[in-house]
Amino acid sequence: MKKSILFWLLFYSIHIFSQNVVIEYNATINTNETVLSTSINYIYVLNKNESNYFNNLNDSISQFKYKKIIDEVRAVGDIKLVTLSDNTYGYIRKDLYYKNYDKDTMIFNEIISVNKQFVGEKINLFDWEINSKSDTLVLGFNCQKAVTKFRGRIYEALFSPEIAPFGGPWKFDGLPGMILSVRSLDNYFVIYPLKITLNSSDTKTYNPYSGKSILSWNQFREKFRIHLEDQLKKLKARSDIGERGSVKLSEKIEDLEIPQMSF
Amino acid sequence: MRSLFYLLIISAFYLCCDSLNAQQIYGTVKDVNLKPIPYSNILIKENSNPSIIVEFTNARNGLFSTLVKKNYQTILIEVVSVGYHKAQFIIKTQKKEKTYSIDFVLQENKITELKEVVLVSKIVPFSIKKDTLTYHIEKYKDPLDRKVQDVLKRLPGIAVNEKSGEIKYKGKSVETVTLDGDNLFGSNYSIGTKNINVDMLEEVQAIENYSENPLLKGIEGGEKVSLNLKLKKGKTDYSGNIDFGLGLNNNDKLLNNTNTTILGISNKYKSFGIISKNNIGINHTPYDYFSGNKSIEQTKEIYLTTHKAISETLFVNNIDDEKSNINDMFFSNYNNIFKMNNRLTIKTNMYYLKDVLDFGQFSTSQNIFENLSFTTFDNYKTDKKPLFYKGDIEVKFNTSKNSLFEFQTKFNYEKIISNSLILENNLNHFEMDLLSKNTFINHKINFTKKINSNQAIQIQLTHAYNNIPQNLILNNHFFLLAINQYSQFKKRYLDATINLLGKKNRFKYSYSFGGIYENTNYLSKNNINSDNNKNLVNYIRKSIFNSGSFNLTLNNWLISPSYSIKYQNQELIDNLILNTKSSLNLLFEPSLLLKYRINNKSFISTKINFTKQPFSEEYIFTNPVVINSRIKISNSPTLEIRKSEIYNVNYYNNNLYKQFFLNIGFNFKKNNSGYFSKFLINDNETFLNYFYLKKNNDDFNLYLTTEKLISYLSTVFRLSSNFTKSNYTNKLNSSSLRNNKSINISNKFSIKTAFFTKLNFENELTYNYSLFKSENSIYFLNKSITNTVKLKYKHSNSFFSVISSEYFIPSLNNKSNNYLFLDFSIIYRPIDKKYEFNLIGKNLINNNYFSQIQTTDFSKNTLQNNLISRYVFINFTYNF
Repeated sequence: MKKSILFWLLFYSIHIFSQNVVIEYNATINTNETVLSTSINYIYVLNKNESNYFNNLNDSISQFKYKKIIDEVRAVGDIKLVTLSDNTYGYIRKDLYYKNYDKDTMIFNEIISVNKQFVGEKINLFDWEINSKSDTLVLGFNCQKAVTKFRGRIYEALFSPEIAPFGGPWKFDGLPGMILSVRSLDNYFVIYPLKITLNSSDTKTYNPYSGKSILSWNQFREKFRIHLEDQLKKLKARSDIGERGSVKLSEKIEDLEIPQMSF
Repeated sequence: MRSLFYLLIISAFYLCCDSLNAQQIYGTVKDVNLKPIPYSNILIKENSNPSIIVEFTNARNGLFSTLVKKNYQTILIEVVSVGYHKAQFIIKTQKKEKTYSIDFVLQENKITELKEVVLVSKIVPFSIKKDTLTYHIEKYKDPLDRKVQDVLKRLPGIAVNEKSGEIKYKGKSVETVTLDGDNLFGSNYSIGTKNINVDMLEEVQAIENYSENPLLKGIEGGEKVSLNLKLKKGKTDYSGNIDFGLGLNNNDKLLNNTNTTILGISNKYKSFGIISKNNIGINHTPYDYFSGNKSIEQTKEIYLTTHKAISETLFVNNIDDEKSNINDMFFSNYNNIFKMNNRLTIKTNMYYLKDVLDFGQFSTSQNIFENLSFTTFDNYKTDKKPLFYKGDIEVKFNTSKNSLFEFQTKFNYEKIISNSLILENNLNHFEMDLLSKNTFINHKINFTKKINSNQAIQIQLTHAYNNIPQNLILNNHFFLLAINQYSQFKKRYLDATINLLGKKNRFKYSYSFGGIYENTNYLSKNNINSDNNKNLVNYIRKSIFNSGSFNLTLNNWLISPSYSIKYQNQELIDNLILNTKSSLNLLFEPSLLLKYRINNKSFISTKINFTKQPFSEEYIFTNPVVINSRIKISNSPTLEIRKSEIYNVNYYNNNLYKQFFLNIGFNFKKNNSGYFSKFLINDNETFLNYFYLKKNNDDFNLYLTTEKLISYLSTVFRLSSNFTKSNYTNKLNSSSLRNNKSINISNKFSIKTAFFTKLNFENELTYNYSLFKSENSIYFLNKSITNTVKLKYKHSNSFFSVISSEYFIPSLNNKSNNYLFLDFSIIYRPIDKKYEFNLIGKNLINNNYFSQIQTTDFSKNTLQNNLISRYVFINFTYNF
């Protein structure tokens, strides 16, 4: 027999979370093509049930670890194209992740070719497994470790229930506390906090994507696939008989599940 | 209504799940007006430890449901949401297959005005990726660091032996130091670490499970480690630096130091070259003709080379070489890797070294044994002129995608002329001229075939030839004595080995089969009129062997047993008396390594080795050989096998996050027999005979190194301790066997500040204790102290000065014999400029000599060495 218990009033704790938090993060991408590796500072603002995570482009060139070999930076479409002296190309873009916890919605911008796309997903995309130990201090906060597998990589995160009951940088979220640092086990993507401001007086959040056309994740993936297919077609058009060519997406944090296309 | 609908669905689902073992908890989260709260977390905790969340779920729109996956004694369910007080509910005895429905009502927080709190972190100076730990050098660099070795010494987990240049990571000697992934220097990597400017470096990567052969990556066991120097990316193909310095010493002698390095990098070519000349005691080379430390390459190739019967004059003192090495060195080295195409790589290394070393050494030995007591005095003034050149070529050819052919040839030639004036016992004058030559040739062929992704086979052939002729002329004009001693060791070495390497899941294995042939000749003769003034000996060692080693990784355990079975034939032929001795042995040598990885920062390991080995060929001659004005040596050779047991236990913890390092452990070695020394000593002569005895001797060594940054003191504390105890035997004059014991203790404690102020300092205190005791005899004890202080002042971002002092008390029994050294250095390094100036002053108090106490089981020796006199020097560096 099932037992149902109804409790109207339980005992309350006096713990009060900060109503708003501002965290400055550093996000490093150690790309497979080493010279394209970047290290960018982001601001995360949590205001009640809304958050913004964005970079301010002040470090636009200095974000490249090998900035000394940058030959040229020029604006193309919605991005700045960076040409490095060893014939590799990177780009600089403004990122902005908006989350609304009441509506369980996250919207962010992505780039296909040189054009911005706006993509929406649910906030909690992760199936976290938490480690029942609290043996790490990050900036003075007790943190627990959690692990998840997400779109081709395994991530290890440290979160603290002492700051806020949810929240985190980039897409990371869905843990019972604020995610302070995340590291993919292959070290491709590493985020760690530089500065935490509790009860900050400067915590305005907004939805920059209001009124914009939003793609679902699957629509975005399909659009990307079509773009790569177009690239392959262009490559094939330029090739002679007998020549072979292929297009492969190799420098993405997330696996878009688009296989290598070749002719 | 909609919420109620969802709740009914959830309830229905759980009611249907009778078969589930897990506890089911569902319910609602509402505010006091019974309106669902849009987003909250339901945390499941153990009541005994409420600070830890063991499981959790989210409540959306006031609804939640979860399965409690594990069994807990008492669980505490807590609901948290922004803007509300959190609420808790306890389920005391958790019963399987029960469903709990809990409705939470949360009270709103009254907004409390809290002060803004800011917490700032430091950027992490390292990163870890699989088997590679990357140190971001900018974060570790000190403004005073000039060469790569200077910063390597300070990287936690990396240890550098300043004398030999050997680098250890996680307690293991590194295989090599690669430059942007290319093994340009091989074992002579100290060329790179001693000479590459630290400003050219971006990262240092410490790599575990290193395989130089790319076909063996992931297959090869043995847990080899290496370092990779990642250089800053520049646009130019050539970079380097020029150091040029001039100075004057106290005797108005002109001092110089010129050092030019050039690094060339392109897709198909990589090179590093150095030309240097100095007479201020700096050694830019891997070779040490001053103190006699073997280079790392020489240590690795010791099985291919033979010995010098007559040893050169060497400096044996605790003071650092740059205070006492009176030299005039010219050194040139060029290393190239040519990537001819995708399959062919050619590497060349060329060395040339010429030096003139000036030794002045006065030693006093107080000998006490068998109711005898006498003191000897030796005053040496030696000019030692080493000349050395070496050329190596290595060719690597990928015969196919899965096979690699490697050919390596090395040629070394060394000539050392030493002229000494000796005053023995303040009475006898000798002139001693020693000429030593050393030719070494080595060829290696290695073919590797990868059979499949998990297996590879290797065929290796090695040939080596080493010839060391020496000629010693000893003249005493007063007694019209002229001794001419010739000595020559010559060795040929040949081996052929087939290796099979493979892996299966977490199991790695390697089997080797092969044969070794070693042939050593020793020839000596002197003009002393006696029957035993010659040696003509031939020693041949032939063996066939099979060996295997296995690596099994089980969770956090590494289990690595290995063995070697050798069938060995030894033959010792004395061609003068036509006597041949031979022996045939079957040698089985097992070993076991167990390692437990506690976490990614620490491990504990233990190693047990049982070895059975013949004695070194240096003991094969019987008749006396004169090695200097006082000593003649001879041996009583044997073909016996020495059995040894070696035990090691080691704990290693390198927590870079907490900046804490600890390495503690012990080694114990027990030999069942050995060559012991029999001395016949009088005021003027020492006859030393090495004889074999089946008698146990052992060494025990306990070590500890720990380092910790205490953040609130901004200071790094480091303690390094070493305790060694040895039991050994010898014979003196007519004595019976003497059982001796020696104890050496060395403690080094240092502190280094990292204040954000202009002034920082370092202090290192060293205490040495040395005791030798023989059974039924007096003991010889010496205790010494050294203290080094360095004050570093940063005037501005481009202007620094350092004052350092070293204070030595060589014997605490005689504190009045002490030495104080004062040095300074002023550095001007303008920001964003390519040049710097350095004004150096050394030995400002102008100590002309340094004396140190050394003890043995029958004597106490005082060694007094000449030092480089006071000098002032200005150095200009240009980086390009």
